Amino acid sequence: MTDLLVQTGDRPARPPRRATAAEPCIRLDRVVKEYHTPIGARRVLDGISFEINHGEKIAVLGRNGAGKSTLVKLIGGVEPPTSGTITRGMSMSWPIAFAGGFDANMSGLDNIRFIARLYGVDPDDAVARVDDFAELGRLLNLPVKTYSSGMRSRLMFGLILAVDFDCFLVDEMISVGDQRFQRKCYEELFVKRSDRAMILVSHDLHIIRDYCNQALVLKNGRGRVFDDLELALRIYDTL
Amino acid sequence: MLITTFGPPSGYTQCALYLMRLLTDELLRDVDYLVAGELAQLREAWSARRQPHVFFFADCPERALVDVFLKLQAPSVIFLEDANDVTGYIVRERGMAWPWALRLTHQCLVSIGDLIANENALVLRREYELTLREFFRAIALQFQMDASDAQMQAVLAKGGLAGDFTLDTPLETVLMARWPHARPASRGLDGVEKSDARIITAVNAPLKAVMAGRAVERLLWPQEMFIAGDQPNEILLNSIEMLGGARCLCYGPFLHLPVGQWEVGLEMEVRENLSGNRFDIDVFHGEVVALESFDIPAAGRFHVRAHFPIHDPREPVQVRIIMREGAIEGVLDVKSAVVRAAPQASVSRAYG
Repeated sequence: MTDLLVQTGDRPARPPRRATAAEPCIRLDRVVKEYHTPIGARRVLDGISFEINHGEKIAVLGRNGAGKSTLVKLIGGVEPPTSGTITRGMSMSWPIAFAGGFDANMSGLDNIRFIARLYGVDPDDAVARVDDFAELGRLLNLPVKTYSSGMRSRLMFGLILAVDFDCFLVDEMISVGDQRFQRKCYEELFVKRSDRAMILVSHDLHIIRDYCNQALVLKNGRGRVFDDLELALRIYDTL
Repeated sequence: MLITTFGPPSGYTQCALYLMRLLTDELLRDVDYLVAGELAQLREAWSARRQPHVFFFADCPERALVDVFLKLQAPSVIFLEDANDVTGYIVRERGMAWPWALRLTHQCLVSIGDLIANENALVLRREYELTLREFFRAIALQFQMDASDAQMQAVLAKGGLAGDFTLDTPLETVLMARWPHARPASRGLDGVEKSDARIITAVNAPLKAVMAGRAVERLLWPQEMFIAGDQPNEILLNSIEMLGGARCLCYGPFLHLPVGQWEVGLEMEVRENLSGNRFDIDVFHGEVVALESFDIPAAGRFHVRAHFPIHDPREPVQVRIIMREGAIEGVLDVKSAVVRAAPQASVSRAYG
């Protein structure tokens, strides 16, 4: 298990708390992230501030290298910011599409049970839900190291749905399985859980237009939130 | 005989043309009247003429037409008055917004600039304050004709002027009496907002050299002559918000320059451009004749210079500031553009 899933600093060891509509849920305040390189400090994020409340969905747009993945790592708690604060007022998923958090020598079932316990979810219930969703069948008994990347993604996606977070962190939308399975993922995430908050890093403009109500555009580490999605997309289109 | 005349679209030109036509009709009798701005139009009209004499007028001839008349070395008459008076007249007579009236003033005066300098041209300026007799005699003399007092009186009668005016009446008096949009000399901008009049005066100032038959050395194109890319019908008065997709931030001034090599120096100031951006600045004169691409600073003033050729004074010049990347922040101020005659072509820039 990687740090991502065992980090407990601000992750509750209890069933994910359902946020109320009134409370602000996730807030970034002047977040800066710098990495030290042989040629000096490189500022990847520079004073990012935004807030996302219960049920809101924000798209994160930017060219490659703009700092999207770093931002996801910071929001997900994988890395700390160099300065600034990140307040998480609701349960937050690990980044969807991140399928590297399993213990490869354990079976899929054991991984599900382990993670379920970490997040305070009934393991048997989690197994049943993942099994129902991921369509892996008896393959869940095999070590995860034998899984293809698609199978790992299915397992991870099923787990995220089983834990049932208040806010989903989606880093580059899942391309899991065939079209039928992808539709199933979208249905579960965007339709059945439309009341949840979401931070969505994606290049898919259709998904952004259909499901997001604001957008954070990142450029060279700087960021700005737009309620006007079309303006954000126009900027993104010519970054 | 070819009677050739030029002049900007002003009240003085219209009045002088009217009187001159009456005179040539009286002296030559059979005269075709041609107005053309392009050589092809002139050729077509010339081939279709029905009379032995042709009275030709152009207020804004294309370069090829100017070259023909310069080559012909034929006598011509040019009517000139203060550029501000021309601009004011265009505003009143055509109901044109002052920036476009200003552009038309430049287009016409710059287009005939080389003709003004031609020694075969008789330049009749409004400031000469000629009487009608002096005016008629000057015209007749330029085309080697004789005009007797009786013929000049006949001209007045034919034009319905005899009752009100005599040959000793100043042409200015006729102009003010019969051309309702005309204003006294040097008061052409009466009625124009003072702030606008100041800009018009500043932009028109270099035309004094053109009208004196001299080369223009330096022109100032103020910010107000540029157009904001996001509000294409509005002059640029304020800072430009860079926020938005890649686009042309501003362009203009659609003014005109004499044939030759020129250098434009554009001064700009940028603020809050912390996420960076890239500009193209080009000069468009029928086609892109100069282009420079560069990264702009996060904040500060910077200066861009570009050299470019002008081949047709009738074709306007645009300097375009194009933002190459979408912007999430940043404010741009375009301070001014200074244009100078330049001997050679190259491009350079400097940050300050």
